[in-house]
Amino acid sequence: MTREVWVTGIGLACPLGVDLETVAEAQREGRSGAVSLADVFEAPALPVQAACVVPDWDVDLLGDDAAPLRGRDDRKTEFGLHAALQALRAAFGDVASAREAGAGDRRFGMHLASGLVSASVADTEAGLLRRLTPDGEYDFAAAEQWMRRPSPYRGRHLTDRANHLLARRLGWAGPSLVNHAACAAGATAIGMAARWIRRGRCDVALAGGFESMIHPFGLLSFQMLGALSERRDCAPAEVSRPFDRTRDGFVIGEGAAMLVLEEGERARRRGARCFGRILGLGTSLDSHRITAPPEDGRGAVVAMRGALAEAGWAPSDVEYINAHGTGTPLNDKAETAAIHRVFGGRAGSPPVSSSKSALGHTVAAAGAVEAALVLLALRDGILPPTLNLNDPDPECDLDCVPRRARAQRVDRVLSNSFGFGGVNASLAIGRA
Amino acid sequence: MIGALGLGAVSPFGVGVEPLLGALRGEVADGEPDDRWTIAARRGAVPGFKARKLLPDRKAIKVMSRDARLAVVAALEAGGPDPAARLGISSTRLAAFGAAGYECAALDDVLDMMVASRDPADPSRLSVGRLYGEGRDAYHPLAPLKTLPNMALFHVGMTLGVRGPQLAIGSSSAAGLAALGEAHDAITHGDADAALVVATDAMTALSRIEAMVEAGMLPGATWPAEGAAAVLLGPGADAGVLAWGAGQAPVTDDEPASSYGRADAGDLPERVAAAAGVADAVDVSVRDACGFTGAAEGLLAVVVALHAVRAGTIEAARVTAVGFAGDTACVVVGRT
Repeated sequence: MTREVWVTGIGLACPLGVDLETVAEAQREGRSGAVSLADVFEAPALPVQAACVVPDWDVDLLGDDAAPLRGRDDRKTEFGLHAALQALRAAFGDVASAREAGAGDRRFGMHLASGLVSASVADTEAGLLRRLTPDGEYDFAAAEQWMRRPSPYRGRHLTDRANHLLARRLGWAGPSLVNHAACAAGATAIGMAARWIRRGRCDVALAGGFESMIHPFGLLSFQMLGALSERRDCAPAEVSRPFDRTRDGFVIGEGAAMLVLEEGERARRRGARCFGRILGLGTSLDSHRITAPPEDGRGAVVAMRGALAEAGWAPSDVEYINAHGTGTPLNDKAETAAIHRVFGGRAGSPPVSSSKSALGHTVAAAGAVEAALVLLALRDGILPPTLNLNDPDPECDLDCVPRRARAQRVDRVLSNSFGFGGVNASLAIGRA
Repeated sequence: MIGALGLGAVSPFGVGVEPLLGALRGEVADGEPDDRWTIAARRGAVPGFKARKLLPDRKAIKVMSRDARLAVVAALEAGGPDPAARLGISSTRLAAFGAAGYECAALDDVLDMMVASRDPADPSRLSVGRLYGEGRDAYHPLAPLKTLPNMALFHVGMTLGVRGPQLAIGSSSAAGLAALGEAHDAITHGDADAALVVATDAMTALSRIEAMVEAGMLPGATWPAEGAAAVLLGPGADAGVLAWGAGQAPVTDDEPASSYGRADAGDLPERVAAAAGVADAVDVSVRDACGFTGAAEGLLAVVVALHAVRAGTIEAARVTAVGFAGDTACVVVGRT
């Protein structure tokens, strides 16, 4: 008998809010999470004006769980922990019950997605600048002495820190991975963890992603790669314009989402709530160019077809696609070509929208955050809008749910995530 | 049966599987752990590693981190330039599952930018204004690409023409074994027809040395090293994965970092050996010889073990690795 994979808990922190209902309402109302970058840090020489920031975030929102993170300036892990604890509470009632259910149990696993290394300014000053001689040479002997002393800055850039903190909190003894498939990491984590359950390796898994790149180094990297919108002729909320003729890049976002995945029969027996089912994953490599997808989107085609095959769906079964939809000129065009190829042109394509129009690009967390939004869309019968789509690009000939959320019940959804380096993932998500 | 169709390695003994095997046969150790480790000495570096001679696309080298360069060389040894064609399968049915270190920015990549970004009034402080001016001008425009943790896998895929399923896991010495196990499962369940599994790390980078200090590995227990390993997995081979497992070791609940880098594998090795039906698997590790090669070390040991199984030296071998966060993986290899 096929083992079903239920989502029994969702937790998130994203630019639209730090709890599920606030985010659901923002999605229904078509609100944007963008603010002026100048509100976050001063960078007059950086030609970028908008960022999508998790609102009113304070590490103390984690309560007693804030202790190991306080003073470490590790925003992405804070978001990850918040989302994980929220998802566990939704699934098990409270975190103590989640621990009681899975402590020491090898069938409770964790597959997290973490992003690019985010050395902070303080980190860099402590580890690098203070080790430089006046001539700009790196003083290895001074660095060695420094490394041998305890430091609150040390180790916070390690991407498995959240795995370690959650292992301490939960005591779950099953597999624990962190993946780095760039912008496809969150979706890959959820899909692979679902396979653990479907194929019998686990009964319960925590899966999702966490990311924060809104700091001087993160923005420098993306800007040098030409990926960020440099638009300054509008309000921050109007900068992200996926599928629009005037799009010129993405707006950086941050956040985390975590799902508790559970074998269906087990969840049914204990009366758990089902938010939806993870039915398939397709992944692929473009092996094309390092920062650009092939124009025909062939890697995305392989990923979407893989997800359809694992779910046992025909293309015509899919009723909505949550697009990767970054708002870069190349991505949106290639993704449109891929959707046309899989679904048989505009006529066969279901409605498609880009949540990045509202919450920016949350990079490694994107696939997980957008999977959470899809689960809300399934629950509420609301298709999230593509904000700022005022002048649709004829080369992105899709029904992109422009500007306003659409009331429409859907049962079968694909969620796309494509990343730098040509890594692709597509998730098939079904109604409860 | 699914097994190893090709093996590749880059180790502190040189480029290729043979130098590693030769060193292990001769019980030649690269060095002894001691208290006098120095980050400048780089004694765990691969000798004679000349990327321009070893890699086919010289233009790509400038956007490749050290990890990526090591990974592609190991992958080419395991899979050849076009493994999909060699196996007679579509490139979209060939998977690439990889494990890489947690951070790929080498000091040399960022030093000029950091020097240029110092606050003139206080050189120990960073000036964000200068970072986006003089700092950016001193940073190679393609350098950010080196820092993406999935780039080693990208370069492997690009060089060897892989277009099928991907998994890029990281941050852990257990990651290479987990990638191998997940690739084995992916082929078993039909997600792919074959898979190139690659694990790579350069623990000689400053931030990774720092992680070793935090984990209690330096000074004294070992020394920082670099390496990469690759296994081409597919049907029809006579040696491969008999069983594998992954788990999370218990971590302490008192101090935030008290168990970081200090967990053990518990009973996972016994359970995996039992699942493999092997009573006398030889435990294989390369750390005493190679130093700490981070995410690469588990798969380097698997390459050694698979070679020994193929040669008939041993019937089966077991490789176990525990990451800093207590994530654990174990693989038993033998005749399939």
